[in-house]
Amino acid sequence: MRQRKAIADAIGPIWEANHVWLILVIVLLFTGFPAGFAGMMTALNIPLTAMLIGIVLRGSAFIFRKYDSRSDGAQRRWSTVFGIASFFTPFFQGLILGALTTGKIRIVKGQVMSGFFAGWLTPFALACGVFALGLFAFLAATYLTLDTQDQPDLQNDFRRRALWSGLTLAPIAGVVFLASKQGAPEMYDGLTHWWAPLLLAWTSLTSIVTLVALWRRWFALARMAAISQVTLILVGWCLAQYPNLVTPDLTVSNAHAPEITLRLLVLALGAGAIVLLPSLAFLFYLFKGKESR
Amino acid sequence: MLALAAWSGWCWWKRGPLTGHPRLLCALVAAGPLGFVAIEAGWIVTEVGRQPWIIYGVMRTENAVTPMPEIVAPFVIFTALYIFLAFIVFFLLRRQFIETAGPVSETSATSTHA
Repeated sequence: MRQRKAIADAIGPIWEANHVWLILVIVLLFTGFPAGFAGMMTALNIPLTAMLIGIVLRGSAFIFRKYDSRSDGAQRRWSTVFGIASFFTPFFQGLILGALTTGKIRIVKGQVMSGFFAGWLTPFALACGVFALGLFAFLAATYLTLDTQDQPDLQNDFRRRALWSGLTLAPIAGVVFLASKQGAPEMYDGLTHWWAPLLLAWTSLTSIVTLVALWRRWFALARMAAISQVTLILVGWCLAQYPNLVTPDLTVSNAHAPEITLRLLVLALGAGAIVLLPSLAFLFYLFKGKESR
Repeated sequence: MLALAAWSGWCWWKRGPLTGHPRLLCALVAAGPLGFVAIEAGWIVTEVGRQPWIIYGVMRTENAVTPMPEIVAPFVIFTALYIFLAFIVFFLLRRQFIETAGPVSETSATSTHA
């Protein structure tokens, strides 16, 4: 259970700050694309609720574990709750993302016509869930190899986990791609555009760099490569899904808020970034800078 | 709460350290939950006072409700979840209090003597 302690130590100082992003994303979707928000929240109510329970349990288990005065059986139970919730939350996140692109969710005049089980129970959505889970595990393990510099055995353990999860990502990504042909045709079309092979080659290159760096124990390089790998996957996903929000009925152009709202939103984002980004940088400098020194 | 703050300020200004006023200290302890009461009361005023509108003058609550059936299920689940979490918080705070009770009473004892 020293792994769990390492996780808690690594993420403890910035745990609350992380939830800023969750709120930001939801508010942005709600304000900028109200029709998309309404459609997603209605059609995917069940998996979203499951994910929310996961987020609540993760957060409380983390805090309870951290501030409990004794480290005994109770703390181990919190760790278990944290682990289980951390397993299901990214899985449902991937599931929801996948469901949006299946084309099974139909929205006519703002009304969800396809019921509450459409999309997210398809093999494609399930494959996306597994892929998201693998990706999160891989990213976390790669990050933790740098946070455990002073504990070689833990570092080795996280290195092994990062290598294994990184290796399994490739076949899972293949399954997602193959499942998209049947399960999410528009996504498949997007993934077979002219830019797709270039992006795929670039992503594969970063993933190979990550794995080699992990193997050769260049952990700082591994972290940077893993960051770019995950960013590239996100970029590819966005490009393939664009311009759909909920395939096929809601797109960026028919679900957005009135122009004046969008303009104010961009201004607010810019102003917010001026405050938020330096504060975050300072937070990381304070808690992460010291650790590595 | 304002009155308590004024009382504390006056005591501190006129009669030295606050630890010398047992009645004020009792009142401060009793006022502990008042902050939560104030927050909840504020919420109830805004949420109930706005009915039957969800956006005042623009949209009625009955028009804004989700078409999702069985909406009582998530209501029950989240209520149960938060009751469970509240119970855990109570248990953890109690445990922490019992564990730190010894040294705390000692320091307060020495400070009143001094």
